[in-house]
Amino acid sequence: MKLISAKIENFGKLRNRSIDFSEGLNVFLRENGFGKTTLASFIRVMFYGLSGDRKSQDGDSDRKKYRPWQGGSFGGELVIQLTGGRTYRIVRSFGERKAQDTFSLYDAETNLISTDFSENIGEEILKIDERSFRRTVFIGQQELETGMTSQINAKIGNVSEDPEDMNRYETVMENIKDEINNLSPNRRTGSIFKKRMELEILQSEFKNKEALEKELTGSAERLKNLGDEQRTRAKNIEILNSRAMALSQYQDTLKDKMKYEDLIEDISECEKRLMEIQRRHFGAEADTLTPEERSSRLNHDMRELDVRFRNGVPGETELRGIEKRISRIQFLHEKLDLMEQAGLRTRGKGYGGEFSNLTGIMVCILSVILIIIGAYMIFTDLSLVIGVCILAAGLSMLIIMLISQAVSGNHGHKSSGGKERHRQTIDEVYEEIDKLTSEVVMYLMRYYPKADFSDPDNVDFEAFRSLGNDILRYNRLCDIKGFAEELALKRREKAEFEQTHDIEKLRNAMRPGEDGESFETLSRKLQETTEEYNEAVETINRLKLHSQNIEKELEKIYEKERQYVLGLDELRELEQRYNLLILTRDHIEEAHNNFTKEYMAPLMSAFEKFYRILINTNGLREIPYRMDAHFNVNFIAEGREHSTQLLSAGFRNMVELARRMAFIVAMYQKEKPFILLDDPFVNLDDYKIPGAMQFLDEIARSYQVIYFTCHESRQ
Amino acid sequence: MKIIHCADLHLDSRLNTHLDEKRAKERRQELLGTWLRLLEYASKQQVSAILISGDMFDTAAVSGTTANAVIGSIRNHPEIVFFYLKGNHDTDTFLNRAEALPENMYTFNDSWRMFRLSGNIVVSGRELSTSFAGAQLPENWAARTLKLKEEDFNIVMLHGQVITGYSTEKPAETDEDIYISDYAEHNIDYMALGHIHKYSEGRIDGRGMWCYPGCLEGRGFDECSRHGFIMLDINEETHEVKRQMIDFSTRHLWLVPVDITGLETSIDIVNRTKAELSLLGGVPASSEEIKNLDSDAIKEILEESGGGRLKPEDMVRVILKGELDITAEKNMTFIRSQLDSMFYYTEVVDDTRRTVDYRIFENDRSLKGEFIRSVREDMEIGDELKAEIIECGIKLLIGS
Repeated sequence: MKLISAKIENFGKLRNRSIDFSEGLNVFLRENGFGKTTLASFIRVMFYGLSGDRKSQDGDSDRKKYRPWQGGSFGGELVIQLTGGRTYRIVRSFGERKAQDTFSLYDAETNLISTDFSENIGEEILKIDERSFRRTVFIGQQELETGMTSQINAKIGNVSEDPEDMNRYETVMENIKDEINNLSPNRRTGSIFKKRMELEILQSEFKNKEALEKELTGSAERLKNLGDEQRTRAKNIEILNSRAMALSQYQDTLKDKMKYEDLIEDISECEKRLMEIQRRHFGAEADTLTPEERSSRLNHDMRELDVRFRNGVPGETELRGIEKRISRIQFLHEKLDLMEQAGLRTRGKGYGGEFSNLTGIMVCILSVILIIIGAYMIFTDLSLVIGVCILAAGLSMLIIMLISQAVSGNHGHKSSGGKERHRQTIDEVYEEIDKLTSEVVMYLMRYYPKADFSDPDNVDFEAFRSLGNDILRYNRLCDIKGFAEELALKRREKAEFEQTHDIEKLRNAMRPGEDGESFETLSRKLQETTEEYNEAVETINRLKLHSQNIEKELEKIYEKERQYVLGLDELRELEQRYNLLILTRDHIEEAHNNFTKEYMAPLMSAFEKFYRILINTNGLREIPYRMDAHFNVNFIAEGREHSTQLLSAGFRNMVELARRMAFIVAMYQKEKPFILLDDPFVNLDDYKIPGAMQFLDEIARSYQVIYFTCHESRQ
Repeated sequence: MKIIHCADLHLDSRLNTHLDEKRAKERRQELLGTWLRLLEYASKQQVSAILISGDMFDTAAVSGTTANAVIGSIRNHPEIVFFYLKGNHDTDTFLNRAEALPENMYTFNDSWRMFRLSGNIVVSGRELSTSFAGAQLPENWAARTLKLKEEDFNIVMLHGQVITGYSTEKPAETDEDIYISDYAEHNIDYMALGHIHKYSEGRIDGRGMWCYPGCLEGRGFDECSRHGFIMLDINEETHEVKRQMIDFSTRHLWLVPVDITGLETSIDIVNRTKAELSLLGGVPASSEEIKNLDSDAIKEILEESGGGRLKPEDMVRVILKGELDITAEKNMTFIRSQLDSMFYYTEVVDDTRRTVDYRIFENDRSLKGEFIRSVREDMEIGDELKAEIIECGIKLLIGS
């Protein structure tokens, strides 16, 4: 392909310019500031449109950089001829924005609109994008030190039967790199890294799973053992309870038994007492009488005495009082008799004086004897009590004797003294007798209602002396009655008891359980066991609660574990993918290197050829450069490769020029492109210029070369 | 008399890690639920006894809920006698959490125990062990010490691995081995076994047979057959026995291979899969796709899964098989999203291959050719990985 002509309406500083291009070398020698670089850019823009719209720096944006300085329509046209001979006119105009840009293509011969190519005409004809264009055929002085693009690579590698895959190489590698980085186990943002962290955290959360499981199993086992113990306890409690019950029943039985035995004893006691008292009542008759006779006699006596004592039995003091009174009455009567015997009898019997004296002497002698005996007994310590008694009896007889002697003496004196006074005394005695008699009669009338007490002076008190006996008898009879009643009661009680109790069982009652086990021991044991039982219930409940808590914990852990297992699968997948990508990347890279090697030799020889022209040397001299699989040219010094960055700018430019030309040769074998050179030799020392000129001539033989320079020496 | 024989319930099992948290929990409760359902069924059917031939639980750490539910359920059915033989997964502490064992439950230990169920039905069982108190027991000790009366209907419960056939050189017995030939001529009518998760059966001798009921519920896609228990109906006079496997699981698990060879797009793959699933469900979609399905393959899947029909409550693993063109569009996320809601649980596994004949590139003077050669020549990687690398690299270079 070659450029025919260009017509610039307005482009940067260029305005209304028309340029015709010839075949071979076209030199544009213009001073600085003419717009050589702008013209070079115009040609590029005609093929690819304005670039860098999104760049923020004005210098990077074609639209801003080449907006016409003086205004007017922004654009122009370029006429080109393809290898086949067809000519086209590319017309572009540019607005404020990309949307306002226009593109038209005309067949230059017919001047008709052509649709053979689109506005992407540069890429369509040259098969490279703008970036690659800039790095190959567009050789500006600023752009000599740039690297490779995958399209250049692909173009170079068009030895390939499938140019697309070399074309895609860079994108593929980029994609793989991105995916590897995204997965990376070494980057914080990498999925594998994150997944591993996540799993580590999860794992740390269930590290005590086994311990908890063990504890749960242990708890279950302890629960089981506690349950066994508890069941034993419950059984013990049951046994103790039943033993306590049996013991308590036995004790009740024992009480009944004792009560029964007491009853029997009471009855025999009663019978004995009754028999005794009856014997006393009946005296010798007792044994001869039949029980019926006894009974009827007793009833008879009882009836009789009941009547007598219907107003109550006289008390002992009362009775003694009456007896005393009766004795006093008798004494007074005797006294009266004595008094009357002394001749002063006024009524009834009187006292005998001689008898009294004689008796007095007798009594006197007797009492003296008694005193002597008593004193003797006291002093000889024979018998103190009897001695005292005898002494007392003797003394009292003597005293009574003396008193009566004194009285009779008085009587004697009085009788001799005054008959009247004696008379008075007798009356007083009578009076006392009367008073006492009436008292006694009053009393006796209560008990002997039928007796005749009409003549108080002639009451035979002896007849009533049996009252004391009657009381005794009555009391005895009452006792008999009472005993009989008691006996009957006891017998009834016994009968009742026998009716309500199993006497046989009572007799045979045995003490249950262990020997000597008391009710207290039992209940203490029972209490202890119950306490133990209750404590164990608490322990069991605590343990159950504990187990529940462990279970809850375990459930959480199991969930973590499930997530962990899932996560492990995911991690494994990620790692597999990661490893696969690494291996794939390495092998694609290797393939690329291997494949590149195939056309490295021709490329290197082309490089050598152009470089030799540039440094103006023949083939004998060794070129100290090597090209690697990435088409980077390295400088060799002292057996080691070094980057061309170490070289001077001039050498660096020459290496790059030679390399570019080698690429162009390799890349464009069908449609040969034009070559735009924007003063690439500015850094070259003067002595290198001839070589450069020779280089220009050489390339102009095969390509249309548009060469811009501002110096004649470089023309 | 009706007797149910079940085994390997693995209650509290935590399998199926691919289920989400909610469904994993749900599924665990379902295992327990199936057991309770079994008891209801047994009660309605007037079953007299339930034999549990081991592995009722999955781990020693039985949860309180499960232990309580099992004990409670046994107590609630006093009309049924339970015979529980421990398996290798069980421990004896679970049942006995401070409460006494239910009275209608009988357990076994490492020597023969026999229970007379009725006049002439006898249940015997023992936990298998080749040693006693640390000392090795004589060979086939369990079988040698089993004495059963000829006139009884004898059921023998064991938990272990059945080994059939005779071998001149018997390998060393392990605790779980059951050499069927050792039990021949022992008057056994029915050997109620546990340990194998899939239903299987065989003859002991002319009189008796052995049987594994399998587990009550399938727990993973390696347990896809029908699951349930054995119902024995024994005529006490004639000793005739009717035996029936009752398919009882709440959900069935299905492995469904779908051949998608030649399909070009994800939606085609979805349609093919749906067509196959609908056919398995017994309600074939009236799509054209039906014609593309291999009826023999469908029959095989149905047979594998126990003859039932695929239901929405089931758990399905779809395995995409066959070869796809390298340019075919297959988006697994889309495919999964389309199939996900069809069943209780749906898993889609991609087992397809791309029909790229890498050999066509192998001698190419191109990056692809160079790449394939480079991988082939790498001596450090295995063939399988080589294939994967080649597929991965070529896909990238082709740009698919």
